[in-house]
Amino acid sequence: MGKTLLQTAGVTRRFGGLNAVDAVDFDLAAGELVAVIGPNGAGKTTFVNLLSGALRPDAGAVLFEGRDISRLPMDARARLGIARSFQIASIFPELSVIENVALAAQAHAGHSFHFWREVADEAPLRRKAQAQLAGLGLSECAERPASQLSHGEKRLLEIAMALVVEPRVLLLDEPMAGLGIAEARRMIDFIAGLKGRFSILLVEHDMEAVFSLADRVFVLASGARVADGPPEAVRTDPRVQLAYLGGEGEDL
Amino acid sequence: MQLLFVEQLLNGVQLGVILFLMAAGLTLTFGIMNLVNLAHGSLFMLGAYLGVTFALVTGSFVAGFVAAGLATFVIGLVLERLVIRHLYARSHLDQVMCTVGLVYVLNEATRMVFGPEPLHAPIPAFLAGSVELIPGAPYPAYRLAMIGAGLAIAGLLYVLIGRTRMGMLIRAGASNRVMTSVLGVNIGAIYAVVFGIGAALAGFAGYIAAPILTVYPGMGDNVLILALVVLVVGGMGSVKGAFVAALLVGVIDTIGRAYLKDLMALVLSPVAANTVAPALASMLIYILMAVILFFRPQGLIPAAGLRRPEAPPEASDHGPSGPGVLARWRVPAIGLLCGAFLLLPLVAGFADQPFWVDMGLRVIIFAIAALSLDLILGQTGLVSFGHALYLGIGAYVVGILADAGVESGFVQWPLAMGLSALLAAALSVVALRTSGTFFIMITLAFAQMMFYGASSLYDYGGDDGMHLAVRSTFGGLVDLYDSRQFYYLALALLVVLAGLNMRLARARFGTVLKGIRINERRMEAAGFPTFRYKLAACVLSAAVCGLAGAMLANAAEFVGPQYMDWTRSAELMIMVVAGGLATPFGAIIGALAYLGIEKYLSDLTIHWRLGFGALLILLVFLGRGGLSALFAPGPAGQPAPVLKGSFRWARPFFRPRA
Ligand SMILES: Nc1ncnc2c1ncn2[C@@H]1O[C@H](COP(=O)(O)OP(=O)(O)O)[C@@H](O)[C@H]1O
Ligand SMILES: [Mg+2]
Repeated sequence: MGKTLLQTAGVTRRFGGLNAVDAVDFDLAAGELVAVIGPNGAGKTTFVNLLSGALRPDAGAVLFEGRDISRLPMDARARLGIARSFQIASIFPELSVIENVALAAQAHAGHSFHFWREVADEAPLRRKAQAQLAGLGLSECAERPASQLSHGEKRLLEIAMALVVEPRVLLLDEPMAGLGIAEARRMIDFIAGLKGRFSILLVEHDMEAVFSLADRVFVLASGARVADGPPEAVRTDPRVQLAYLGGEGEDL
Repeated sequence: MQLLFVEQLLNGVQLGVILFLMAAGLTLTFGIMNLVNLAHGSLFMLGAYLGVTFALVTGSFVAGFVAAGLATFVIGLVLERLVIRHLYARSHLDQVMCTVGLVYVLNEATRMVFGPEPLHAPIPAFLAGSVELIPGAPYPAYRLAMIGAGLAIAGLLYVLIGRTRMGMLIRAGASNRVMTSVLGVNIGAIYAVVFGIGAALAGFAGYIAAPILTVYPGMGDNVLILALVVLVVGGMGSVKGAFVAALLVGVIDTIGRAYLKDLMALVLSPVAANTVAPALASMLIYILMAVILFFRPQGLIPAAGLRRPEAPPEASDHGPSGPGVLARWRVPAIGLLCGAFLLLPLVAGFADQPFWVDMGLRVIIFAIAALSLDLILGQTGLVSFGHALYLGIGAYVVGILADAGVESGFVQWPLAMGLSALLAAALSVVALRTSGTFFIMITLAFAQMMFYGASSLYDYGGDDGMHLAVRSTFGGLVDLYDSRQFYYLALALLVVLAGLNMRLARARFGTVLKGIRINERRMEAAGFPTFRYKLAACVLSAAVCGLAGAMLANAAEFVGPQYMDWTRSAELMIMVVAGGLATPFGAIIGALAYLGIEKYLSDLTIHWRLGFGALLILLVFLGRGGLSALFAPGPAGQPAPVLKGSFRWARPFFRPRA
């Protein structure tokens, strides 16, 4: 593993009286894949939002390569190389599949105050998008409206949009949620292929996926860190068992 | 001086109480049903008309009071049943359009029944005197009673929401719709009753304010806009916030009008204070709103339950993606339209109907304004309800410069655009800190602010506006007094702007705007600083609208605050939506259809707004995608004509919309 890329120090976020994320210390090294697990409502999505900049912390800090980025908005963090997917697949349904990816690429290809030249003529953007789609096996539907994709393909498309800009860190919030068995398999294989090339934070409920993919497992419950360590150690950790029994009682 | 101050303070509280009664209904319907109801002012008006009429017939002020509440409650239930209920799941834009339609219908129906003359509402005998609250300072008993009645109703509302089962359900609904449905209560019934209660509150407010206001059709609209300011300042969906903000707005507005002049006279010359103070006083609360929103974009006391969901974007207003029923006629229709615009002056000449050219010019000018609004409304999805503001700015720049002897259009028109752009930059920096409904209301309030500001330009006609001294000159190149030359100049500008608009839509900038409209969060996550692009769109759009304003001033040879009236903004919005969003074709046929129908209906009957309002409501429910959707080309991906070489620039004009 390389040096620490993304880090939090006592990061906290409150909603009303509730500490959705409570003084969490976390780090992600270059090339590492960390799975964040925890019962529903544990604060996983909120944590991803804090890392990606969709939410500002109430206390604590988020650091990227040692630099405090707590106050940076989401778009600035994205340009630093922190890309994400949303728990509810977030795409541009009215655009074609390739336009979705090309638009994401455009965000990292200089400013967009161009008023005359057609985007469709910008070969570099299209080439990048095509390459990304090919890598995900989505080339066939490149010209179809994204709204016509299947649920699993929409999730792949979202990841394509995150990957096309060659991010440093990839934050994936439950990328397998709602997928069928075959589609989930395809997603796991794909993420396995990304391992080592990017630093990945994977929020996931599917334990099989977590333990087959993760270098390290980070457990959140009620907003707080319960455990953090290699998959085997976490699996047998009694505190984790307890957190899950208190939560949904998912089988570890 | 101090006694007077107490009196003014009480007047402020009294205004505040009225505003609270209005804002309470608005904030409940927004918090619980997520509904933007611009017809709330019409309920205020109905309360005044029906209550006062009943009081005059029965001779009892109290009977009128009860009747005002009951009647507006029932009207509220009926409206909810017939129209409002179908809007809950619709976009805010649809809600705005439809409730504006209701405003047209209700105000015009009132005018038909009660006539256009104001109705006199007498102060009841038992409240006719005055009370010495502080020795030596008599205060009208009626105004005191207004405060009392208003506070009593507010108290009742507090008990209703805070202490009853019904109120508990309402609060449950306000913070979590799902919970209410889990509890097994009939949500539809709750919504209807909440809307009815809001309507009754507005009715009460209208009735008790009637003796100190003028009762006339449309009286509720100004109160509505003040209530929207209250809503935004207090925090949408929060009853407590509405109460605090209503008193704040009421007191500051009243005190400002009473004392600003004296205060400013301390630092300015009396003449300057006399000119500036009235304008500033009438703009004061809007400035207050801007300042508060800049620091607290959610308002003073945001409703606890409202969450910004991570949900995917709401249903699109942008029409069906399939081909329209008249798709085959698309090219002939566009050809016909172009031909008609090109040949109109000639035809008018042959037919000896010179005013056709003036009509055509008007259509072109409004098409340019609609085109500019479409950039933010249609392409970016920002529902701006104050766009007529820039029509006014453009017009005033021309008017004021002409008055000062600067007659050259080469100076006037660019200045009109520049000033509009500058103002848009300043206002949008505040407005864009908010989103959704807040944005609608803030743009509306800003336009209203400038409307009042312009109304107090007494040197330039104040309320009445002024005649344009002389039309812009263009160094002998174009003579605007020759209506054909003016027409063709405007047409040329329209063609150029529509062309630029189409290019822009397909360039990076337009793609970013489209992305923001479809899914702004995704754009941010992808790394676009969306604020910058939205700001740029607002500024560009304002500049073009300022140009339309400059032309309008010349065409009408008149400049006045009327150009900035909120109904003007609504008109522009209707044109864009009726024509079809995000296509220049839509803005042009929207302007044509709007002005055409207006002309046709108003020739038919003086009550044309009634029919027009009804059309508007129908448009929301039946007309997905507007007129241009009828002519929409086939689905994307259909082969487009390939243009090569030096004609490549024209490609966007030939390719079907994606
Ligand atoms: N925007 C919000 N406003 C209020 N409460 C929120 C908001 N987002 C999340 N929460 C609350 O914070 C807690 C953690 O939520 P979340 O991060 O979505 O959990 P997870 O993703 O682990 O299921 C939950 O109790 C949730 O209700
Ligand atoms: Mg989650």
